[in-house]
Amino acid sequence: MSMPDDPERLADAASRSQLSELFASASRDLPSDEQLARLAANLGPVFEAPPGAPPAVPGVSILVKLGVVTGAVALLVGTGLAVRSSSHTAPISPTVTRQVTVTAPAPAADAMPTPPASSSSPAPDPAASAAEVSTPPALDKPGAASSKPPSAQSKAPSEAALLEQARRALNSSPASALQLANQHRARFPNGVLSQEREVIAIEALRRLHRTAEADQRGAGFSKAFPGSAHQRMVDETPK
Amino acid sequence: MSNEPRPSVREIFDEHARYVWRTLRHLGISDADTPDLCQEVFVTVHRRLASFEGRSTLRTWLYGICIRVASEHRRRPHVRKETPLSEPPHESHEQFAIGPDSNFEQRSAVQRLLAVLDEDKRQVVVLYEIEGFSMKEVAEIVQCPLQTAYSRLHAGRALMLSAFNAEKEAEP
Repeated sequence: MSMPDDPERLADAASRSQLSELFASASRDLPSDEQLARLAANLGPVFEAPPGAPPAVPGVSILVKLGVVTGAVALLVGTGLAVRSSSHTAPISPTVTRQVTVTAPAPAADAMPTPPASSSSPAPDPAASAAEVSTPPALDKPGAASSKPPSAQSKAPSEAALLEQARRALNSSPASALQLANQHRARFPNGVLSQEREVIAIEALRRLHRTAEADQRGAGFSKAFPGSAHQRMVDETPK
Repeated sequence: MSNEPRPSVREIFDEHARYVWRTLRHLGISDADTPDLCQEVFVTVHRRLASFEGRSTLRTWLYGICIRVASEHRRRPHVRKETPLSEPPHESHEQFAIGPDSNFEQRSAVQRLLAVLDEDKRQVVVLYEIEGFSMKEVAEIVQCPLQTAYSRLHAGRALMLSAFNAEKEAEP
């Protein structure tokens, strides 16, 4: 809803410039029905709780997000266990669950059953299923990007720049594009442009005639990002 | 508050969840974190719905929660280190190039343009330009004076337009 004094929105600009088209397209960047259904399933206990019920204990994955994981990860890394700070794919180990239980605020668990830890983000990770076996499973490295010294980080390209380099390398050197995409995966396992990275990697694999690996990574993409706007591109990348 | 019955969390979810998800994405939340943050928004809705007094519309109240959940998330140490897109890109304006693969390019280009903005400007731009709130509602959601919201919008637009135009000029 606009008020009379509000400026014209970019998406409504009469000139229909590229910028206005970009913002018009942004409104179509919606989750898929599958993603929403999964979210609704995770929120089932919340939906069923009576109005005015005491504050609910959120799901384990949310507790992890709330920062409990910060201490837990440090502890687990110290003991040689790998835990992902984002709970996107990997089941949370019992050790993590215990950490959460110990540090959680005063619970109302009977009023609000805790959803299963793995159900909030059940989609497998394309990186984990990708056939780039020589690449370590970057998503299992909590704070991978933060493990570098600050000076090295500040000199490294940003997420967007790294992916842009990969995209530009696709035509001239698919191998370089793949290497850059994998570098992106290692540095930004949960990056904003994770989907775009996978699309580039899959196309690079196709161009390198590594069809089986491309198909495998494509299958991982489909599972991790169901309903993605990029799915058509994954399906249609040159074979 | 009107005398109309208050909607349930489920009804609020059904009507607004996809837009909450979209907003979180445009506020710079990663694909991996968006489902959990979306879940966190609706858990918060459940907690606070009983105390919602109706002084704002339900939609602005909901987006206020959304903005704060995203903001708090971005301040968490492990997140700050994984979302460098919140920082302005320095390398080259060429990264704003829009190519023929419209979905890929447009989604990426929007994210990169928004990443030029600091958090305050980004919130206003997303709520006004993408989510379609009036500026009065935007100011209410981000809890700032209306004139401040206008200033953030104009400044945000100028920053994005500058970056966009610079890229266009650099095109061969």
